[in-house]
Amino acid sequence: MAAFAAIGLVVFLSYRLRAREIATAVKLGARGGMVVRLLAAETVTLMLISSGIAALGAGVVSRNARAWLGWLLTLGG
Amino acid sequence: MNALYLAFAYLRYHWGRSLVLVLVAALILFVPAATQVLLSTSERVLLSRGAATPLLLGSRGSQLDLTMSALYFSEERPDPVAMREVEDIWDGGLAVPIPVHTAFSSGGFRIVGTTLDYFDFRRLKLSEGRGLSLLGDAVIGADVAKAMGRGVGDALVSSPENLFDLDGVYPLEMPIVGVLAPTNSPDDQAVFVDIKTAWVIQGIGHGHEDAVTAAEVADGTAALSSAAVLQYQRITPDNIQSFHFHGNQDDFPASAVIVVPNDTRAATILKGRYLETGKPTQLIEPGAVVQSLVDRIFRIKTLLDVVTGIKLWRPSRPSVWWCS
Amino acid sequence: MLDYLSARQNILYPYRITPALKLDSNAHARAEALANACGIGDKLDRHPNALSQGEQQRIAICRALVTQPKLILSDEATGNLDPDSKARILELLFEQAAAASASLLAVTHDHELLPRFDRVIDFAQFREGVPA
Repeated sequence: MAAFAAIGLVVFLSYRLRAREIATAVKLGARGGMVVRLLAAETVTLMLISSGIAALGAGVVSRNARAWLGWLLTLGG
Repeated sequence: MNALYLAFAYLRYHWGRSLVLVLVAALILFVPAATQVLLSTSERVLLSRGAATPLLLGSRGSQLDLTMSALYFSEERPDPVAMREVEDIWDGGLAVPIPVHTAFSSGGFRIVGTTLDYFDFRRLKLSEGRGLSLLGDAVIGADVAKAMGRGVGDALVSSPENLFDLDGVYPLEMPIVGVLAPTNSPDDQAVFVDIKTAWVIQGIGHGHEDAVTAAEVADGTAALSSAAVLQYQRITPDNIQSFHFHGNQDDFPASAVIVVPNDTRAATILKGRYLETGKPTQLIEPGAVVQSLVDRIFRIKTLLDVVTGIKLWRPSRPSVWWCS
Repeated sequence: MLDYLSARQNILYPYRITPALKLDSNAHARAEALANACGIGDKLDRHPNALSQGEQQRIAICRALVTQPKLILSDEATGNLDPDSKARILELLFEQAAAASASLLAVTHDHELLPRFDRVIDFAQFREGVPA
């Protein structure tokens, strides 16, 4: 669910932010496939970096989960 | 390849915008992932601790509060159970009772007053120093040692409790005689003392000429007699003999009693004895309590997932979008 | 103009978005030659925000010509240019059209240019779509 939300957001914003470039590209002869590739390349790049950061964060949480959980429980259940 | 080149060029040139986008997407991915990790870890930790504690005796009331207090040393304070209950279980010969007193703390870590059986029951090993032997001794968990930067030979003072200050009882300074090896359990975040030491902190037991004063703290020698400047009490070889307890020890409090039955039959018999609703105490299975808590947490998570799904499926229309 | 690409990369942009075109050393050489002919050869590594509007227009013209099209459509292509640049760009358009045997179809208000074209249609002579 989260992955779909993230991909949706990135695709939507990529398209919004690069709409003018897409229009230029189409004027210069870019086909539909190329437009899709332009957006996909950006989406994939962003998602890879984002996933890397998220995985790094999740790794930190995973490594410290027991300690943080113990602290949370001690704090008041 | 060209599409990637253009994507990189775009992202590099508009790095601020890209960074925001990356961070937002990372956050969208991270939050559920971290929640999932925490939930599954909590499930594992809670269930393993619950499963490792066969029975728990405490005052009637919230079973969850009792469990959280006795197993995870949370701040909940269930009504105390009298030590008479411990004696009854000993006398029954069906189980080993281990009282735990978790009403006090030191530097944000719970002080757990108990007996030496607790260390055997939880298979706690010392990484440094020795176990509890004298009144006032403290053995600290691995996380406590790390967080406080203290070890054997140092001391810690119980946090003042307003309730007891009114009675003229002062925090107790306790020498650290041992540090436990890490266990990845709530034991790492506890300060263990003999249950009698907990009673001293509570003001049930006390000694004489044991006051350490503000002036003494200031210059290390002089002592004032005014109670207004008293800082904390200290148990020393000179005054340990003068420590004594007022009242009947059967009435002294414990937060809960961990009950380790000899076998399944003994457990069943014991549970039967405490079924009577008129009794002021209850005997619970912490594993079942924790399981119901975990089930509840996962039900809430499922509900949140469904709500999030609906929200994403039909997002509310944003009123403002930034322009390219 | 794409603000995130240098002038050189803007000129070569059609090669990036058209799989049939190969971005090789010839394309780079052609881009540089066009830029030199337009008088912006020394500004190829700058981004559009560091160039004037006239310079940006010259880059756009270079971008249109770099793939050696068979048909060049020019809609007031020299509108924002100073007289010197205008002459230079028009010369370039005619040169490119001749070199690639391409057709140049231009829309302009500049009557001085008319003698240089093979065919001229004066829209002022039309009334409601019918020649007067």
